[in-house]
This record gives sequence, structure tokens and C-alpha cells, in this order.
Amino acid sequence: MQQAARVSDMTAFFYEGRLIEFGDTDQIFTKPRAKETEDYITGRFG
Amino acid sequence: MEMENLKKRILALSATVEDNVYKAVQSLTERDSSLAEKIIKSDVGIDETEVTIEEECLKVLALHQPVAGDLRFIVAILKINSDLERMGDLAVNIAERAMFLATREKPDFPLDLPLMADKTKAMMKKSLDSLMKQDAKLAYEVLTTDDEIDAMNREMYVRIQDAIRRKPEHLESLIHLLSCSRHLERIADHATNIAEDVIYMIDGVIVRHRAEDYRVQG
Repeated sequence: MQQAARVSDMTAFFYEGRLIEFGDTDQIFTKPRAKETEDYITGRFG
Repeated sequence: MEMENLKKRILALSATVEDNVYKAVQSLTERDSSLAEKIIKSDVGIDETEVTIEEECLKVLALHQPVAGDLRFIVAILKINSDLERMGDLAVNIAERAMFLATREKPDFPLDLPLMADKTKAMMKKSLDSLMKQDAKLAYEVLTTDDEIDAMNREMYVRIQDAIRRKPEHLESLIHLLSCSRHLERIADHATNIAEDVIYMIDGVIVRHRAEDYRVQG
């Protein structure tokens, strides 16, 4: 995931076949809009 | 786990700093040199805690590479940590002035320093409460009160100038009192910084350098 954050401009987070969130990589990794995204990238699940 | 630990440490530090600021003002108003001395000595502990917290934050950054809310939390803690340490130093500065003033005759001017001190203490309490309760609304309230303290500090400057003209023999004491007013104003500024960092931590918005906006809101 760290690698993805470093090399990409845009990030999408899919969970169980659903698109949860899509946006600029820096926004997704600093201030995600969806709680599921936040929980996933901070390692609370997954 | 480390996050919880850091939160506990920063809250403990904030309690110590708050206590020192309260006592510094008390040593000033009650002309209590021994209390002032205690504050000066206890600052060493604050400095040590500041270093420990910073080291802990760096460890979390290096080992866990936090993102999103966790990252904002660490960044905010790092900044709040420095603000608290500076507030501790300012309490020491006030205590040093208090020690000097206790040796001099009490200047009989209506200076309203206790009122300014009360406002600063209330502001500081609110910003630390917003940190403890993770309450962005409370933090926004802090931002609107800073202007009041700034105005009081400016007014103090005029009053002291006038007092010096009338009683030049109290020159030294009055200059020290003016410094105390400035130290209080700086403490209020740091309280504002903490509130801004709490807002960043919770909402992820940077509200610094936008004083005009909250005045409209407030």
C-alpha cells in the first residue's frame, strides 16, 4: 500500500466489489472521505 | 497502542503546563517568590517530557508509517508538544518577573493584569479541553477569543506608558509588568495554535492564517 501511495496520482478503494472512494492519492492518504477507506488504510481491518 | 500512549502523555503534559501557567499568574498577583521558584524548577520536567513525546512520535512515524487520521494525529501531537513546551517557558518567564516584582514596592496602578490573566487561562483551558475531548467546535471557539487578548495587550502598553510618565520611579517594575502582559498574550497565541491543530487533527482542515473567517462565524 505504501508503494501505491508513493507511485500513483489517483487512488481508488474497492471493498467487496463496491467502489468506496476515488480521488487524488494525497487526499485519500491524508484525509479520506469514507470511514471504510480510513479504517482500511490505517490498518484497522483488511 | 502507541497512539493511546501518546495521547495520555500529551494530556499529562498539558495538565502540568496548565498548572504552571496558573501558578505563575498566582505568584505574580500574590507576590509569592517561593511559588515562582518552584515553577522555574519544575520546567525541567516539562522539557524532558517534550523530548520523550517527540521521540515517541518519530518512532511511530518510522515504524508504522501512519496515514489518514493517524498521520494527522501524530503531526498534530508533534506541533502541540512544542506549543506546550513554549507555554511552559512563558510561565517561567512570568515567574521570573514575579520574583523581581516581589522585591519591589507594589505599583498602585489599575492595570487589569489579573483580568487578562483570567481570560488567558480560560482560553488555554478551552483549547486543552478541545484536545482532551477531541471537540472541534470547542476549538473553533478558542480562535474567536484570541483577538480580545491581543487588544488587552495593546491597551496595557498604553496604560503602562501613561503610568511611567506619571511615576517614573516605578519604571523598572512597570516594564516587568508590561513583559508579563506580553507573555500572557503569547500564551494565548500558543493556545490558539493548539486549537488550530486540534481542528486539523479532527477535520483535516488547515485553519491557520484565516482569522477573518472565524470572526464572521463566531
